Amino acid sequence: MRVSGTQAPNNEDDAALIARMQAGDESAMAALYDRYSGIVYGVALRVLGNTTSAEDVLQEIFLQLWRNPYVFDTTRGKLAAWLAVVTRNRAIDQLRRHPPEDDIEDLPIALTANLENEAVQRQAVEKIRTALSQFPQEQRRALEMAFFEGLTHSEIAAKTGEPLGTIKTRIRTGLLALRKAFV
Amino acid sequence: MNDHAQYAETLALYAVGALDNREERAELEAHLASCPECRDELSALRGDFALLALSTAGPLPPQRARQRLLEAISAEPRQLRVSRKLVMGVLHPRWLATAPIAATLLLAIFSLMLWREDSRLRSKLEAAQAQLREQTDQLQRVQAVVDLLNARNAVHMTLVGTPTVSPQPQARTIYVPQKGLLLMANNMESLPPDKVYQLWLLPADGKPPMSAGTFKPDARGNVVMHHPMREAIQAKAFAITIEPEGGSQTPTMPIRMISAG
Repeated sequence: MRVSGTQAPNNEDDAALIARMQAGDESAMAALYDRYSGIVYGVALRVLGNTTSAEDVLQEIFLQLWRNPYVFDTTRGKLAAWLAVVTRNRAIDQLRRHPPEDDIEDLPIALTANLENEAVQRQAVEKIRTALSQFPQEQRRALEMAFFEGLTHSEIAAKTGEPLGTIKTRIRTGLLALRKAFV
Repeated sequence: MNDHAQYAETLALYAVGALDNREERAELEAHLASCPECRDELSALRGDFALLALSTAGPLPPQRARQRLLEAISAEPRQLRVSRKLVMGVLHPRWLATAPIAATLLLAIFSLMLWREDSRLRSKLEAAQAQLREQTDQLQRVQAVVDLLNARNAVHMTLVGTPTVSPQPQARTIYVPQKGLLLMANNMESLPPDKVYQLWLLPADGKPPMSAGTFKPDARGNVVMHHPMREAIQAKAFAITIEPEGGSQTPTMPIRMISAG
Protein backbone atom coordinates (compact mmCIF):
# COMPACT_ATOMS: atom_id res chain seq x y z
CA MET A 1 0.00 0.00 0.00
CA ARG A 2 1.25 3.44 -0.80
CA VAL A 3 -0.05 6.46 0.98
CA SER A 4 2.04 9.18 -0.51
CA GLY A 5 2.77 10.05 -4.12
CA THR A 6 5.02 8.40 -6.60
CA GLN A 7 8.04 10.69 -6.58
CA ALA A 8 11.36 10.26 -4.83
CA PRO A 9 11.05 10.72 -1.06
CA ASN A 10 12.13 14.01 0.44
CA ASN A 11 13.60 13.79 3.94
CA GLU A 12 13.05 17.40 4.93
CA ASP A 13 10.56 17.79 7.74
CA ASP A 14 7.24 19.48 7.15
CA ALA A 15 8.25 22.71 8.85
CA ALA A 16 11.23 23.17 6.52
CA LEU A 17 9.17 22.34 3.43
CA ILE A 18 6.38 24.67 4.52
CA ALA A 19 8.86 27.50 5.12
CA ARG A 20 10.26 27.01 1.61
CA MET A 21 6.76 26.78 0.16
CA GLN A 22 5.84 30.02 1.93
CA ALA A 23 8.87 31.63 0.31
CA GLY A 24 7.49 30.65 -3.09
CA ASP A 25 9.61 27.55 -3.74
CA GLU A 26 7.67 25.36 -6.16
CA SER A 27 9.85 22.30 -5.48
CA ALA A 28 8.81 22.43 -1.81
CA MET A 29 5.18 22.48 -2.89
CA ALA A 30 5.87 19.45 -5.09
CA ALA A 31 7.46 17.64 -2.13
CA LEU A 32 4.47 18.39 0.10
CA TYR A 33 2.18 17.14 -2.64
CA ASP A 34 4.20 13.93 -2.95
CA ARG A 35 3.98 13.45 0.79
CA TYR A 36 0.29 14.12 1.33
CA SER A 37 -1.56 13.82 -1.98
CA GLY A 38 -2.46 10.22 -1.10
CA ILE A 39 -4.22 11.29 2.10
CA VAL A 40 -6.02 14.20 0.43
CA TYR A 41 -7.09 12.16 -2.59
CA GLY A 42 -8.14 9.20 -0.42
CA VAL A 43 -10.41 11.35 1.72
CA ALA A 44 -11.91 13.21 -1.24
CA LEU A 45 -12.52 9.96 -3.10
CA ARG A 46 -14.14 8.30 -0.09
CA VAL A 47 -16.48 11.26 0.45
CA LEU A 48 -17.34 11.93 -3.19
CA GLY A 49 -17.02 8.45 -4.67
CA ASN A 50 -15.91 9.90 -7.97
CA THR A 51 -12.31 10.04 -9.19
CA THR A 52 -12.80 13.20 -11.30
CA SER A 53 -14.38 15.14 -8.43
CA ALA A 54 -11.74 13.81 -6.03
CA GLU A 55 -8.98 14.98 -8.36
CA ASP A 56 -10.60 18.41 -8.54
CA VAL A 57 -10.71 18.68 -4.74
CA LEU A 58 -7.08 17.51 -4.55
CA GLN A 59 -6.09 20.24 -6.98
CA GLU A 60 -8.13 22.85 -5.17
CA ILE A 61 -6.74 22.06 -1.70
CA PHE A 62 -3.08 22.25 -2.76
CA LEU A 63 -3.67 25.28 -4.97
CA GLN A 64 -5.35 27.09 -2.08
CA LEU A 65 -2.38 26.22 0.14
CA TRP A 66 -0.07 27.69 -2.47
CA ARG A 67 -2.18 30.83 -2.82
CA ASN A 68 -2.60 31.26 0.90
CA PRO A 69 0.61 29.75 2.30
CA TYR A 70 0.25 31.09 5.82
CA VAL A 71 -3.21 29.66 6.39
CA PHE A 72 -1.64 26.63 8.03
CA ASP A 73 0.30 27.53 11.16
CA THR A 74 3.05 24.97 11.84
CA THR A 75 2.98 25.79 15.54
CA ARG A 76 -0.62 24.71 15.86
CA GLY A 77 -0.63 21.20 14.55
CA LYS A 78 0.41 18.72 11.91
CA LEU A 79 -0.10 19.44 8.26
CA ALA A 80 -1.38 15.92 7.60
CA ALA A 81 -4.24 16.30 10.06
CA TRP A 82 -5.09 19.77 8.86
CA LEU A 83 -5.14 18.66 5.23
CA ALA A 84 -7.33 15.69 6.11
CA VAL A 85 -9.90 17.86 7.86
CA VAL A 86 -10.00 20.72 5.33
CA THR A 87 -10.23 18.16 2.50
CA ARG A 88 -13.10 16.41 4.24
CA ASN A 89 -14.87 19.75 4.80
CA ARG A 90 -14.38 20.83 1.18
CA ALA A 91 -15.54 17.47 -0.17
CA ILE A 92 -18.62 17.50 2.08
CA ASP A 93 -19.42 21.04 0.83
CA GLN A 94 -19.19 19.75 -2.72
CA LEU A 95 -21.30 16.70 -1.89
CA ARG A 96 -24.02 18.95 -0.55
CA ARG A 97 -23.53 21.45 -3.36
CA HIS A 98 -22.68 24.20 -0.92
CA PRO A 99 -20.65 26.97 -2.51
CA PRO A 100 -17.12 26.53 -1.18
CA GLU A 101 -15.55 29.20 0.98
CA ASP A 102 -13.00 31.48 -0.67
CA ASP A 103 -10.26 30.35 1.64
CA ILE A 104 -9.47 27.06 3.24
CA GLU A 105 -9.83 27.06 6.97
CA ASP A 106 -7.35 27.86 9.67
CA LEU A 107 -8.28 25.22 12.23
CA PRO A 108 -6.18 24.39 15.28
CA ILE A 109 -5.79 20.62 15.12
CA ALA A 110 -3.55 18.76 17.55
CA LEU A 111 -2.23 15.41 16.44
CA THR A 112 0.66 13.57 18.04
CA ALA A 113 1.11 11.06 15.21
CA ASN A 114 4.01 11.88 12.91
CA LEU A 115 3.06 11.26 9.28
CA GLU A 116 5.99 12.93 7.55
CA ASN A 117 7.24 9.97 5.58
CA GLU A 118 5.81 7.02 3.74
CA ALA A 119 6.96 4.40 6.24
CA VAL A 120 5.34 6.07 9.26
CA GLN A 121 2.24 6.81 7.21
CA ARG A 122 1.97 3.10 6.43
CA GLN A 123 2.34 2.22 10.12
CA ALA A 124 -0.28 4.81 11.05
CA VAL A 125 -2.69 3.42 8.48
CA GLU A 126 -2.26 -0.05 9.96
CA LYS A 127 -2.85 1.28 13.48
CA ILE A 128 -5.99 3.09 12.52
CA ARG A 129 -7.39 0.15 10.56
CA THR A 130 -6.65 -2.21 13.43
CA ALA A 131 -8.29 0.16 15.91
CA LEU A 132 -11.36 0.59 13.70
CA SER A 133 -11.67 -3.16 13.16
CA GLN A 134 -11.96 -3.58 16.92
CA PHE A 135 -14.74 -0.99 17.27
CA PRO A 136 -18.31 -2.17 17.63
CA GLN A 137 -19.89 -1.86 14.18
CA GLU A 138 -22.36 0.83 15.35
CA GLN A 139 -19.60 2.98 16.78
CA ARG A 140 -17.49 2.79 13.65
CA ARG A 141 -20.54 3.58 11.54
CA ALA A 142 -21.40 6.65 13.64
CA LEU A 143 -17.88 8.05 13.27
CA GLU A 144 -17.77 7.35 9.56
CA MET A 145 -21.19 8.93 9.01
CA ALA A 146 -19.91 12.07 10.72
CA PHE A 147 -16.59 12.15 8.87
CA PHE A 148 -17.36 10.90 5.39
CA GLU A 149 -21.01 11.86 5.05
CA GLY A 150 -20.93 15.06 7.09
CA LEU A 151 -24.04 14.08 9.06
CA THR A 152 -24.95 15.80 12.30
CA HIS A 153 -25.66 13.81 15.43
CA SER A 154 -29.43 14.14 15.04
CA GLU A 155 -29.17 13.03 11.40
CA ILE A 156 -27.10 10.03 12.48
CA ALA A 157 -29.63 9.26 15.22
CA ALA A 158 -32.50 9.48 12.71
CA LYS A 159 -30.71 7.28 10.21
CA THR A 160 -29.71 4.62 12.72
CA GLY A 161 -32.85 4.84 14.87
CA GLU A 162 -30.78 5.29 18.00
CA PRO A 163 -31.15 7.89 20.77
CA LEU A 164 -29.25 11.18 20.48
CA GLY A 165 -27.41 10.49 23.72
CA THR A 166 -26.14 7.15 22.41
CA ILE A 167 -24.74 8.78 19.27
CA LYS A 168 -23.05 11.47 21.37
CA THR A 169 -21.39 8.87 23.56
CA ARG A 170 -20.34 6.73 20.60
CA ILE A 171 -18.64 9.62 18.86
CA ARG A 172 -16.73 10.72 21.92
CA THR A 173 -15.60 7.26 23.00
CA GLY A 174 -14.72 6.46 19.37
CA LEU A 175 -12.50 9.53 19.07
CA LEU A 176 -10.77 8.75 22.36
CA ALA A 177 -10.18 5.15 21.26
CA LEU A 178 -8.53 6.40 18.06
CA ARG A 179 -6.32 8.67 20.16
CA LYS A 180 -5.39 5.74 22.41
CA ALA A 181 -4.33 3.69 19.39
CA PHE A 182 -1.52 6.20 18.78
CA VAL A 183 -0.27 6.60 22.35
CA MET B 1 -12.68 23.83 35.99
CA ASN B 2 -15.41 21.34 36.88
CA ASP B 3 -17.39 22.24 33.76
CA HIS B 4 -15.18 20.12 31.50
CA ALA B 5 -17.00 16.81 32.11
CA GLN B 6 -20.33 18.49 31.47
CA TYR B 7 -19.14 19.59 28.03
CA ALA B 8 -17.14 16.48 27.12
CA GLU B 9 -19.67 14.88 24.79
CA THR B 10 -20.89 18.05 23.14
CA LEU B 11 -17.25 19.03 22.63
CA ALA B 12 -16.66 15.78 20.71
CA LEU B 13 -19.72 16.42 18.53
CA TYR B 14 -18.58 20.00 17.97
CA ALA B 15 -15.10 18.81 16.96
CA VAL B 16 -16.56 16.61 14.23
CA GLY B 17 -19.00 19.29 13.07
CA ALA B 18 -21.99 17.20 14.14
CA LEU B 19 -23.42 19.39 16.94
CA ASP B 20 -26.62 20.74 15.45
CA ASN B 21 -28.47 21.73 18.61
CA ARG B 22 -28.27 25.53 18.58
CA GLU B 23 -28.64 26.02 22.31
CA GLU B 24 -26.01 23.44 23.15
CA ARG B 25 -23.73 24.91 20.55
CA ALA B 26 -24.13 28.47 21.83
CA GLU B 27 -23.52 27.36 25.40
CA LEU B 28 -20.42 25.39 24.41
CA GLU B 29 -19.01 28.25 22.36
CA ALA B 30 -19.50 30.62 25.29
CA HIS B 31 -17.64 28.16 27.50
CA LEU B 32 -14.85 27.66 24.95
CA ALA B 33 -14.30 31.39 24.73
CA SER B 34 -13.20 31.40 28.36
CA CYS B 35 -11.68 27.93 28.73
CA PRO B 36 -8.24 27.30 27.23
CA GLU B 37 -8.26 23.68 28.45
CA CYS B 38 -11.41 22.89 26.49
CA ARG B 39 -9.98 24.68 23.44
CA ASP B 40 -6.92 22.43 23.69
CA GLU B 41 -9.14 19.38 24.02
CA LEU B 42 -11.12 20.54 20.98
CA SER B 43 -7.89 20.67 18.96
CA ALA B 44 -6.97 17.20 20.19
CA LEU B 45 -10.41 15.81 19.28
CA ARG B 46 -10.09 17.29 15.80
CA GLY B 47 -6.73 15.52 15.52
CA ASP B 48 -8.38 12.24 16.58
CA PHE B 49 -11.10 12.81 14.00
CA ALA B 50 -8.48 13.49 11.32
CA LEU B 51 -7.01 10.04 11.98
CA LEU B 52 -10.10 8.56 10.33
CA ALA B 53 -8.77 9.97 7.07
CA LEU B 54 -5.97 7.42 7.19
CA SER B 55 -8.47 4.60 6.86
CA THR B 56 -9.03 5.75 3.26
CA ALA B 57 -5.37 5.29 2.30
CA GLY B 58 -4.71 3.25 -0.80
CA PRO B 59 -5.90 4.88 -3.99
CA LEU B 60 -3.34 7.25 -5.44
CA PRO B 61 -4.17 10.23 -7.62
CA PRO B 62 -3.24 9.90 -11.29
CA GLN B 63 0.20 11.20 -12.23
CA ARG B 64 -1.39 13.88 -14.41
CA ALA B 65 -2.84 15.49 -11.25
CA ARG B 66 0.68 16.28 -10.02
CA GLN B 67 1.66 17.79 -13.33
CA ARG B 68 -1.58 19.78 -13.45
CA LEU B 69 -0.93 21.22 -10.00
CA LEU B 70 2.70 22.11 -10.73
CA GLU B 71 1.70 23.84 -13.95
CA ALA B 72 -1.03 25.73 -12.12
CA ILE B 73 1.28 26.99 -9.38
CA SER B 74 3.95 27.96 -11.92
CA ALA B 75 1.36 30.00 -13.75
CA GLU B 76 0.17 31.76 -10.61
CA PRO B 77 2.04 34.69 -9.17
CA ARG B 78 2.42 34.11 -5.47
CA GLN B 79 0.14 36.39 -3.50
CA LEU B 80 1.30 36.72 0.04
CA ARG B 81 -1.77 37.40 2.02
CA VAL B 82 -3.04 36.61 5.44
CA SER B 83 -6.09 34.44 5.77
CA ARG B 84 -9.21 36.42 6.51
CA LYS B 85 -10.42 33.47 8.54
CA LEU B 86 -8.25 33.92 11.58
CA VAL B 87 -11.25 33.69 13.87
CA MET B 88 -12.01 30.09 14.75
CA GLY B 89 -15.38 28.50 15.08
CA VAL B 90 -15.01 28.65 18.83
CA LEU B 91 -15.06 32.41 18.74
CA HIS B 92 -18.06 32.89 16.49
CA PRO B 93 -20.00 35.65 18.27
CA ARG B 94 -23.38 33.96 18.08
CA TRP B 95 -24.35 35.28 21.49
CA LEU B 96 -24.51 38.74 19.93
CA ALA B 97 -27.87 37.84 18.48
CA THR B 98 -29.34 38.21 21.94
CA ALA B 99 -27.33 41.26 22.99
CA PRO B 100 -29.12 44.55 23.68
CA ILE B 101 -29.93 46.63 20.61
CA ALA B 102 -27.89 49.56 21.89
CA ALA B 103 -24.79 47.42 22.05
CA THR B 104 -25.45 46.19 18.52
CA LEU B 105 -25.73 49.75 17.25
CA LEU B 106 -22.49 50.70 18.94
CA LEU B 107 -20.89 47.68 17.39
CA ALA B 108 -22.21 48.68 13.97
CA ILE B 109 -20.65 52.14 14.32
CA PHE B 110 -17.41 50.62 15.51
CA SER B 111 -17.51 48.17 12.61
CA LEU B 112 -17.94 51.03 10.15
CA MET B 113 -14.87 52.73 11.59
CA LEU B 114 -12.97 49.47 11.38
CA TRP B 115 -14.13 48.93 7.83
CA ARG B 116 -12.78 52.33 6.82
CA GLU B 117 -9.51 51.65 8.56
CA ASP B 118 -9.44 48.21 6.97
CA SER B 119 -9.92 49.72 3.49
CA ARG B 120 -7.07 52.13 4.07
CA LEU B 121 -4.78 49.38 5.37
CA ARG B 122 -5.84 47.09 2.53
CA SER B 123 -4.72 49.69 -0.03
CA LYS B 124 -1.37 50.04 1.70
CA LEU B 125 -1.05 46.27 1.90
CA GLU B 126 -1.78 45.85 -1.80
CA ALA B 127 0.88 48.43 -2.66
CA ALA B 128 3.38 46.67 -0.41
CA GLN B 129 2.44 43.30 -1.93
CA ALA B 130 2.99 44.63 -5.46
CA GLN B 131 6.42 45.91 -4.44
CA LEU B 132 7.21 42.63 -2.75
CA ARG B 133 6.16 40.64 -5.83
CA GLU B 134 8.38 42.79 -8.02
CA GLN B 135 11.33 42.34 -5.68
CA THR B 136 10.65 38.61 -5.44
CA ASP B 137 10.57 38.34 -9.23
CA GLN B 138 13.88 40.19 -9.48
CA LEU B 139 15.39 38.01 -6.80
CA GLN B 140 14.19 34.85 -8.54
CA ARG B 141 15.73 35.97 -11.81
CA VAL B 142 19.06 36.68 -10.09
CA GLN B 143 18.85 33.36 -8.24
CA ALA B 144 18.21 31.51 -11.52
CA VAL B 145 21.35 33.01 -13.02
CA VAL B 146 23.41 32.22 -9.89
CA ASP B 147 22.09 28.63 -9.97
CA LEU B 148 23.19 28.28 -13.59
CA LEU B 149 26.64 29.63 -12.82
CA ASN B 150 27.06 27.28 -9.85
CA ALA B 151 25.47 24.16 -11.33
CA ARG B 152 27.83 21.19 -11.34
CA ASN B 153 26.20 19.76 -14.45
CA ALA B 154 26.38 23.02 -16.41
CA VAL B 155 27.57 22.67 -20.00
CA HIS B 156 29.82 25.56 -21.07
CA MET B 157 30.22 26.25 -24.80
CA THR B 158 32.00 28.94 -26.76
CA LEU B 159 30.44 30.11 -30.01
CA VAL B 160 32.53 31.50 -32.82
CA GLY B 161 31.59 33.49 -35.88
CA THR B 162 31.08 31.87 -39.28
CA PRO B 163 32.31 33.27 -41.54
CA THR B 164 35.01 35.17 -39.68
CA VAL B 165 34.40 38.89 -39.47
CA SER B 166 36.29 41.64 -37.71
CA PRO B 167 36.02 42.42 -34.90
CA GLN B 168 35.46 38.77 -34.08
CA PRO B 169 32.16 38.30 -32.15
CA GLN B 170 32.43 36.02 -29.16
CA ALA B 171 29.65 34.24 -27.33
CA ARG B 172 29.56 31.82 -24.47
CA THR B 173 26.67 29.71 -23.20
CA ILE B 174 26.19 28.04 -19.85
CA TYR B 175 23.39 25.49 -20.05
CA VAL B 176 21.74 23.30 -17.43
CA PRO B 177 18.94 21.01 -18.66
CA GLN B 178 15.55 21.70 -17.03
CA LYS B 179 16.82 24.99 -15.61
CA GLY B 180 17.88 27.19 -18.48
CA LEU B 181 20.81 28.87 -20.06
CA LEU B 182 22.86 31.99 -19.84
CA LEU B 183 24.29 33.62 -22.96
CA MET B 184 27.06 36.21 -22.78
CA ALA B 185 28.37 37.73 -26.00
CA ASN B 186 30.37 40.70 -27.21
CA ASN B 187 31.39 42.33 -30.50
CA MET B 188 27.98 41.38 -31.88
CA GLU B 189 27.12 43.27 -35.02
CA SER B 190 24.10 45.61 -34.69
CA LEU B 191 20.98 44.59 -36.62
CA PRO B 192 18.23 46.40 -38.53
CA PRO B 193 15.16 47.17 -36.33
CA ASP B 194 13.12 44.35 -37.89
CA LYS B 195 15.74 41.68 -37.20
CA VAL B 196 16.88 39.82 -34.08
CA TYR B 197 19.50 37.27 -33.25
CA GLN B 198 18.08 33.89 -32.28
CA LEU B 199 19.92 31.30 -30.25
CA TRP B 200 19.26 27.65 -31.09
CA LEU B 201 19.86 24.54 -29.02
CA LEU B 202 20.91 21.61 -31.20
CA PRO B 203 19.76 18.49 -29.29
CA ALA B 204 22.24 15.69 -28.74
CA ASP B 205 19.65 13.15 -29.88
CA GLY B 206 19.58 14.65 -33.38
CA LYS B 207 16.11 16.19 -33.09
CA PRO B 208 15.47 19.53 -34.83
CA PRO B 209 16.97 22.71 -33.35
CA MET B 210 14.98 24.31 -30.52
CA SER B 211 14.73 28.04 -29.98
CA ALA B 212 16.65 29.16 -26.89
CA GLY B 213 15.60 32.81 -27.04
CA THR B 214 16.01 35.91 -29.18
CA PHE B 215 18.11 38.94 -28.39
CA LYS B 216 19.57 42.17 -29.65
CA PRO B 217 23.00 43.44 -28.64
CA ASP B 218 23.34 46.77 -26.86
CA ALA B 219 25.01 49.79 -28.50
CA ARG B 220 28.45 48.35 -27.72
CA GLY B 221 27.63 44.93 -29.15
CA ASN B 222 27.28 43.22 -25.76
CA VAL B 223 24.61 40.69 -24.80
CA VAL B 224 23.65 38.99 -21.54
CA MET B 225 20.54 36.82 -21.86
CA HIS B 226 19.00 34.43 -19.36
CA HIS B 227 16.53 31.99 -20.89
CA PRO B 228 14.65 29.52 -18.64
CA MET B 229 14.18 26.06 -20.20
CA ARG B 230 12.11 23.33 -18.57
CA GLU B 231 12.93 20.63 -21.08
CA ALA B 232 15.31 17.84 -20.05
CA ILE B 233 17.26 17.97 -23.31
CA GLN B 234 20.98 17.41 -23.66
CA ALA B 235 22.64 19.91 -25.97
CA LYS B 236 25.11 18.92 -28.65
CA ALA B 237 25.78 22.50 -29.70
CA PHE B 238 24.38 26.02 -29.80
CA ALA B 239 24.03 28.18 -32.89
CA ILE B 240 23.00 31.75 -33.61
CA THR B 241 21.07 32.95 -36.66
CA ILE B 242 19.50 36.22 -37.71
CA GLU B 243 15.70 36.09 -37.81
CA PRO B 244 12.77 38.44 -38.28
CA GLU B 245 11.59 40.35 -35.20
CA GLY B 246 9.81 37.89 -32.87
CA GLY B 247 11.99 34.95 -33.89
CA SER B 248 11.34 31.94 -36.11
CA GLN B 249 10.21 28.35 -35.61
CA THR B 250 13.19 27.01 -37.54
CA PRO B 251 16.60 28.57 -38.10
CA THR B 252 17.08 30.72 -41.22
CA MET B 253 20.39 30.03 -42.89
CA PRO B 254 23.16 30.99 -42.78
CA ILE B 255 24.31 30.19 -39.26
CA ARG B 256 26.13 33.26 -37.92
CA MET B 257 27.79 31.59 -34.95
CA ILE B 258 28.09 28.04 -33.72
CA SER B 259 29.73 26.38 -30.77
CA ALA B 260 33.14 24.95 -31.48
CA GLY B 261 33.68 21.22 -31.39
